[in-house]
Amino acid sequence: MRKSIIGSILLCGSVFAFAEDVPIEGTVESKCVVTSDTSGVYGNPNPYTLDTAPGQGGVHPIVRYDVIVADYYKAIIEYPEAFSSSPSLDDTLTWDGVVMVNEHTDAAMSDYDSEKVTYNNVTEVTLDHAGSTWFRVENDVEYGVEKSFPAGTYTSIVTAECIAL
Amino acid sequence: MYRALILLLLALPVQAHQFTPTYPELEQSFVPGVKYTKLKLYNKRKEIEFYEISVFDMDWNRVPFAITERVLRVPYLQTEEIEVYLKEKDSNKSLYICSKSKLLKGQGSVPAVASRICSKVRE
Repeated sequence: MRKSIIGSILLCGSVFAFAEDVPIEGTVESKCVVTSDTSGVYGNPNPYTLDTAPGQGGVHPIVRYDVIVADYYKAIIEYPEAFSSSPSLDDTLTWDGVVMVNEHTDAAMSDYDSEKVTYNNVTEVTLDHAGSTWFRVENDVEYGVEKSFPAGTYTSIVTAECIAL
Repeated sequence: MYRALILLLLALPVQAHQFTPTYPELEQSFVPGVKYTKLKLYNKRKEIEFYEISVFDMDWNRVPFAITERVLRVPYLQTEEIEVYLKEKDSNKSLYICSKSKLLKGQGSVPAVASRICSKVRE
């Protein structure tokens, strides 16, 4: 009995003798992460319109921006003004769109909608709050004067940029 | 019939692109008159494998630079460390070093979000 107690003490002692601190280190640095969060789908409510609005059978694409430190980046989001691939089209296309804040992790980020700068198909927002912001890209296109889109697959591209200030 | 026209802008789960540091610093390279900096590109976009590196001045004019490959293959969940070499005369002004995702034409499920992140080299 006594031997086993002594043995146990020695064993524990030997374990402690070999124990070492194992540090876990990490660095938090300013960075911007651009994430394509939600699938976008064009609905086709009538023969001459493609629209990402849910009411028109579509889904708005959503892009998320994560910034670790405030005031280090600005977001630049462009909604499409051309198809990157489509069937042959011989008439004009009329594009429209808007970029809106969809969700945010900081209540103050709701100001982004009023502070944003828009020109052509571009929306610029200074990311002056740390955290995540989801931007919803609304987009629609009409073909000719109520002319039917040819059947096929249509693809367009949203550009989401994060530029250091 | 018109169901055929309904298409995916993006049919992918959450995907991200990261480029650090925000403010890289230029150092003297082994070649006189040439400076360089190191950046890290992390690819968390499963559908993207290639990224293009570009350098611009503050007016978004292209600035000449040297790199092993301008279009890099960065596998999913991998980090690529890159070295960008610049002429010393260009290093005296503010510059943007940008990485942009490259979309493959004719991909099965074509991603509709092209992401670009630009770090800034300060004067």
